[in-house]
Amino acid sequence: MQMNTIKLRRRSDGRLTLMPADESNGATATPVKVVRCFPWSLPTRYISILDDKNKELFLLENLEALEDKVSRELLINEISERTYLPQIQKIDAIEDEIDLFKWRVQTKSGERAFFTRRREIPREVAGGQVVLKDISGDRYVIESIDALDEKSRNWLWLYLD
Amino acid sequence: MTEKNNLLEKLFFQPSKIPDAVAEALAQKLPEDAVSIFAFCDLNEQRQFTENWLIATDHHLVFAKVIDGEATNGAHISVPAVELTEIPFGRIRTLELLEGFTLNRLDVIGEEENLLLSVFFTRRQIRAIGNVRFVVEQKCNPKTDAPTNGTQHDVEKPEEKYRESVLQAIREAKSTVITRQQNVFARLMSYLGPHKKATIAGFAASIFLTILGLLPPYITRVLVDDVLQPAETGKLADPSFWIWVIIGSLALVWTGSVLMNFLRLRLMSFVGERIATQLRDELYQHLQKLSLNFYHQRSTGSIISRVTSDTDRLWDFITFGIIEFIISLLTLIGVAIALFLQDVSLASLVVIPLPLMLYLFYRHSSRMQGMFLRIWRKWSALTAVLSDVIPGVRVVKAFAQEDHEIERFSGRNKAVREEAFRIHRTWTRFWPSMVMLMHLCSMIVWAIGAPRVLEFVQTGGQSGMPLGVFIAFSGYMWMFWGPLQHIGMMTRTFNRAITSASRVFEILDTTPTIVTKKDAVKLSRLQGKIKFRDVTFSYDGIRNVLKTVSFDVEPGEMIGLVGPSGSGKSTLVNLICRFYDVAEGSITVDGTDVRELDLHSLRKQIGVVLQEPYLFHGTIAENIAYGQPEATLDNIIEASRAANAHEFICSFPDAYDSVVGERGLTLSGGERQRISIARAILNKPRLLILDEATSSVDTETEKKIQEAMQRLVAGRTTFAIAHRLSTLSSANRLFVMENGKLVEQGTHQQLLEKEEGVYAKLHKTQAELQALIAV
Ligand SMILES: Nc1ncnc2c1ncn2[C@@H]1O[C@H](COP(=O)(O)OP(=O)(O)O)[C@@H](O)[C@H]1O
Ligand SMILES: [Mg+2]
Repeated sequence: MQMNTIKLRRRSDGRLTLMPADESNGATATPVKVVRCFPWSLPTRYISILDDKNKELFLLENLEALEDKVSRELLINEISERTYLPQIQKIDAIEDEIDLFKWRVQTKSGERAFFTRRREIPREVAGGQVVLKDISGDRYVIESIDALDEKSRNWLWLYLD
Repeated sequence: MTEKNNLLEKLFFQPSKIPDAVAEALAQKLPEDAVSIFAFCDLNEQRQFTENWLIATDHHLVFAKVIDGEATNGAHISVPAVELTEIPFGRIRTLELLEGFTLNRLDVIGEEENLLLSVFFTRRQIRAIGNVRFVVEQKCNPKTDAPTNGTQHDVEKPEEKYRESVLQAIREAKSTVITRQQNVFARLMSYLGPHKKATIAGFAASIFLTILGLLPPYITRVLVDDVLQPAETGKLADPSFWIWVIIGSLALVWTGSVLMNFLRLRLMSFVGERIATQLRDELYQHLQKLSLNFYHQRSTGSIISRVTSDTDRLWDFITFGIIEFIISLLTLIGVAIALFLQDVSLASLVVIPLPLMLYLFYRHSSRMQGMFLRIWRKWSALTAVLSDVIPGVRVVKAFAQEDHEIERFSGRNKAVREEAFRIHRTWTRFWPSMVMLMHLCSMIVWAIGAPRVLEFVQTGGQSGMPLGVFIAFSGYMWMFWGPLQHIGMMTRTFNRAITSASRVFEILDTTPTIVTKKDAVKLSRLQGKIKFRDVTFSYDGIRNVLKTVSFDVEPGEMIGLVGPSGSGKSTLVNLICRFYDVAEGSITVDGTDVRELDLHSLRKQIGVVLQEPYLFHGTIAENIAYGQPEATLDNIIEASRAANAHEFICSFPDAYDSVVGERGLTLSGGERQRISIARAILNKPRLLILDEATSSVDTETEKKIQEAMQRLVAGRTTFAIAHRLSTLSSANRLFVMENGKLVEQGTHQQLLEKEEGVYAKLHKTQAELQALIAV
C-alpha cells in the first residue's frame, strides 16, 4: 500500500483504526497508535503508526502529504490529544521544598500546582519552548519566557535558565 | 490526622474526597449502591482543568460532572450542580487507557463495541484511575475459576486509597511529605539531650564570653575618667598603682575570654561531632534495613551526600551556628544596655539606624541565597558533563568527539563564571557600602559627642560629656556591627541546617516496605517447594511486569527460564527472594507464604548469581567468603574449583590474595561471574538462582561449570535464566516467559512438540544459527 494513500477511520468504540487496502479478502481494520518521532523539533514530520503490539505499520514522513483528508484530520486530532500540554501563562510562585520545587501557575487550561524534582532541570526544546515535567510525569510548557510578565520571569530567573 | 487527610488540598489544590454535592446526588440516584472506589478526573474534553469524578459503586460505574459555574465568586453561593452518568457493570465490556504527555483518556467500551464514555485526566490521577479500572474489570468479568486464596482485592477505605494513589509520586521523590520547620528544628535539638552537661557548660561559657567582651571599653573609660584625668589635676594619690590595677584587670578579662572561648569551642565541637557520628550510624543502619525499592527511587549520589555532607553541615551548625547566634543576640542586647548606661540621648541616636542595617543585612543574605541557588544549578550542569563524559571517554575517543566535548564543558564553565561574577559584584558592592554606613554612624556620634566633650572640659565638668564616656561609647558602637551581621545572615544559616536535617530525618523516617512479620515462621531447612498463584507484580504501581503467573516447582527440580529480555524473568526470581512484595496473588515456599517467613532465614538459604555480579573492594578470598566469613581455605578452594575459577585465580601473581573491586584488579565479565558463582556455591544454598550467570563465559567453560554445579546442586531447587538454550539442557522443566506472562511450561521435549510454540520457534532459530556457524 502506498504510504500517502492510507486510510484511517474512527471505530465505533472510538479507537483510531487503519482501514485495509483491499477489503475483498476479508482483511479487517487494525486499531493503531500514533507516535511523533520528533515531537519537538519536527512536529508534523515522521509520524509513526503502530499497532497494539508496538509494531510499526507505517512511517509517514510528512503529514501534509497524506491524501485522504479525513485521515489527516483524524491524525492531527489524535496527535494533539496525545501531546497536549498545559501552557503556562503566569507563575504565581515557586517554593523550595527541600528536594522538590513547588510551582503554582496559571495555565491556559486553568490554575495548577505541581512539584518538580530539584535535580531534574527543565528541558529547553527546539523552538525555545521550555518543558517542565512534574513528579507524576505530567508535562507543562512555557511557550516563550520573554512573553511572560516580569514577576513570572523573576521567579524563573531563580529556578530556571 | 485531619492534616494528613487535607494533604491533597494543601499540596495540589485537589479535593481529598468526593464533595458532598456529588455524594448526595449519588445517594439519590443510586440509593442501593455503596461507593467502592473512586478517582478524580482533572481535565475535561475541552482540555480545561475541572473537578469531575469517576466512581465505581457496587453495581455501576458512575461519572460525576460538577457544573458549579460561578459558585466560587461568592456573590451568590449556589450549590454546585452535579450531572451523573451511570453505567451498570453488565453493559461494560472493557476499559481502555490511552496515555499521552499530560492528557490521558479512559474509554469505557460497551458490549456492542460502542463507546459508552470517555474521561480525561492528567498523569497525576493515573494510579487512582487504574485502581477504578481494576475494580470495574474484576466486577465485569468475574473470573470463572477464581481460587484467589482470599487475596481478592477488597477495597475497604476508598478515600484513603484514592489519596494514597495520588500522593505516591511525592512519597517516591521525598519520604516526608510535609515537614514543618519548627518540628525539624526541635527534633535536631533533641539530639543535644544526651549531652546536656557539655551543652549547658558550652552555653554558660558563651554567656561569660559575651559579658567579658563587654568589659574592655568600660575599663578604658575608668582609665581615662577616673585615673588619667584626676592624675592630671593631681587629685589622685597613687596614679601608677591604679594604672597597674587597670592593666591587670584588662589582662584578666582577656585571659578569661580566651579561656571561655576555648571552652565553648572545645565542648561544642565535641558535642557536634558526637551527634554527627550518631546520625551517620543511625542513617547507615537504617539504610541497610530499607528495601530495594527505596534505592531504585534515589540516586546513589544523593544517598551518599546525606550520610556525608549533610551530617557534616549539622556538625557545623551545632558547633558554631547556634552558639554564634546566641552570642550575637546577647552582645547586641549587652551593647545596647551599655550604650544607654553611658549616655541616653546619644545611645538613642545610635540605635535608630539599627533596624535599617538589620534589614539591609537580611536583604543581602536573601539576595545571595537566590544567587547561590543559581550558581548551584550551573555547577550541577558542569559536574553533569563530567560525570557523564568521563565514564564514557572510550566512546568519545572512538567517535573522535573530543573537540565537541571540550566545547560543551567550556560553555557550562563559562556559565558558572558568569554567575560567580554576579555574586562577586554583589558582595563587593555591599560590604564597602555597609562600612560606609557604619562610618557615617560613627561620624554622627563624633559630630554630636566631640562638642559635648569640649563643653565638659570648658565648663570644668559642670555639663557635657566626660572624655572617657565618649571613648567607651565609640568602642561599644563598633561592637554592634559584627552581631548585627550575624543575625542578618541567620536565616541562611538556619535554612541550611534545617534542609540538611530534613534530608537526614527523611531517610530515618522511611519505613522499610519489606519486613519480617512479628510472628514469622523461621525456615530451619528449606526444602525448595515453590508455588506461584496468580502472581501479579508492578514496580511502579502502574504497569504490571508480571501478570497472573502460576506454577508449582517440586523440591530438587531445576527450572530453566527463557524469554525475551524485559519479559520479567529477573523480576520473577527477585520475588522468590522477596526483594519486593507481590501486588496480587501469592508465593509460597515449602507451603508458607513468603510474607509469613522470617526474611533472614529465607534469604540465607538462597544463593543468587547475577549477570553483572558485584565484587566488593577486598581480596578474591574475602569476596568468595562474603556470605560465610568463617569458611575454611579448603572450602574456598573447593568452591572455586566447582565454579571453574581456581585456575585463573592462581594465574594472578597474588592468587587468592589479589585485591579486586574498585581500585583493584580489573577482571573480565566471565571471571567476575565465576567468582560470584563460587561465592554462591560456598554458601551451600538450598535454593539456587542463576540469573544469566554464565552469559559472559565461553561455551566450553560454561559446560565445565555446569558439570560441577550439577554435582553440587543435586537435590536443590534451581532456577536458571539463560538466553542460550544449551545452558539449560539439564533443566527438568522449562518456563517460557513473554510480556510478563508465563506462556509455556514443560520439558524440552514437550515444548518442542508444540507447533507454533514460542519455545519451539526459539529453539529452531538458535539451531539454525548454530548450523550457520558450523558451516
Ligand atoms: N527496578 C525496576 N524498576 C522499574 N521497572 C523495572 C525495574 N526492574 C525491571 N523493570 C522493568 O520490568 C520489566 C521486566 O524486567 P526484568 O524482570 O528485568 O526482565 P528480564 O529479566 O526478563 O530481562 C522490564 O520492562 C523492566 O523495564
Ligand atoms: Mg534479567
